[in-house]
Amino acid sequence: MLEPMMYEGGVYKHNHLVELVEDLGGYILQTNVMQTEIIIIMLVPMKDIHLVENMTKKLLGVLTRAPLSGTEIAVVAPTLAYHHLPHPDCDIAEFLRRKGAKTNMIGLARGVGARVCQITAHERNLINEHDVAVYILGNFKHCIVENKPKIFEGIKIPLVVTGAPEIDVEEISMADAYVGNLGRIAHRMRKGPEMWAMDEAVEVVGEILDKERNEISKDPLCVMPPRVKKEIEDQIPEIADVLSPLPVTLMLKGMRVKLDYDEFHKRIENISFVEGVKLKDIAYIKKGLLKNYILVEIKPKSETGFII
Amino acid sequence: MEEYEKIIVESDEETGADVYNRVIIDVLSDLALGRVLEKVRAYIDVKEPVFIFVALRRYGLPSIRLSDFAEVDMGDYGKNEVAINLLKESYIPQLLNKLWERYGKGNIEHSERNMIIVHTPEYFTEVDILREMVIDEKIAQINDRIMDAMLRIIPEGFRVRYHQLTEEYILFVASEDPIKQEWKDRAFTIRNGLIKGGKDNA
Repeated sequence: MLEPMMYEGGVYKHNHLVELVEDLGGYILQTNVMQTEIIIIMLVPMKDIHLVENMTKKLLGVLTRAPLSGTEIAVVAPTLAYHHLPHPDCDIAEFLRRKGAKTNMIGLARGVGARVCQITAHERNLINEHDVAVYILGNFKHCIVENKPKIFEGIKIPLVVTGAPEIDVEEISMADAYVGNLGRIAHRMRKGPEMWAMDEAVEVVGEILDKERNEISKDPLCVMPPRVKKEIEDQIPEIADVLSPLPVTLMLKGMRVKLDYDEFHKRIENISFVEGVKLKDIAYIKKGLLKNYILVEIKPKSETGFII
Repeated sequence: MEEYEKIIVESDEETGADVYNRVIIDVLSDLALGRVLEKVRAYIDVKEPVFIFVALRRYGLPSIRLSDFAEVDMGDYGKNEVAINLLKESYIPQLLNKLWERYGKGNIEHSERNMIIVHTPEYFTEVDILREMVIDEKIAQINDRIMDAMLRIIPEGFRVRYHQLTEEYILFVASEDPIKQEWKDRAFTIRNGLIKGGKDNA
């Protein structure tokens, strides 16, 4: 079992940590260098965490658990107009990213209003490509409870709703969690209660993801997504030229490869592993709705009968 | 004491009203309208659904006329021209645009920094017209900002709107359904109360 961790520290000698994690059989998911500081998001084997902790102490860095790393989260707003942006949508997305998630902001075309709000099939499928959807809604309980469930219809992934009033999650149909104190506001969230509410949102998403990971471990994937990511980076050199953030974005059950589907899907399918299998044998390679990118969905053990 | 409050938001849902109060404060301060609006009253009923916004305005700055910042006289003897001697440079861009529009670019001579010569055969009457020409209308800019603020405050889905914008007040009724007379009546009652309160205090 791998544990998602985040290292924050200086750039100096950080390669010692990278090498240690790789030697232990862990994976480096993302490195962000900001002048002399670095943030490394990684997966570390649970039983070896103390070794990484020791190394972190030696390098005078800070090691924290990053429960959201290796996931892609859809932050959904009724529209992308100034009523919702940049606050609170960007603030919440930023908090999710700080804990290691990759967020995509999705503004619905006609998600506004009470009676008139709606969601299209395309938007629904796009949201379903993610691990968790966080819907950022407004200030009135009646609106959230009575009207907005229309835009939750058909969402198969776990769904977190945020809004201003305190609402029992049972009252909102189809929602898995609700976080209050985060309504439609027009200023940057920096006051205590607002920050706590955002922390709570991150925590709730983390709990949901942990639950999902637990579910997956009952019928594990036949290959760990980070391993496929590493193979893609080794076998398809073009991925190094991709300028999008996180060219291979990990998800719980697969990944999004930010290469054109028509041009690259054959090569992705033929990625080989030392065990002698090809990626197409153990994963579904699909065309994603996001910019023609490639979506890799790894099959569970129950389908293939083996784990590599 | 309620009538002295600057912003009051009424709604069945207390939390919603409180957050909306904050939204109104944020939007008004973003657009620097805090001193333009004297009192703001909003009423929100999400069940209907309807959003009513009424605000009393303070009297704004008067329009700027050419004579406020320049001396306008007939040109030299025997020439068909009006001479504008500018005392302040800040309005030159707006002034030139207005002059070009009225007389054509070829008839405007701006060779000296503080002097603009307008060539026109009607110089005798044009002098007076030019003196009274409105160069900068503050009220129009403020009205634009008020409309912008309204669009930011009103819930985005409420696209059916009824509004009144006068020098004294702003009144907005918005919903996603056709506007009902009872909503308008409610808005008028709030407005009348505000205007009466304003006069009593004065």
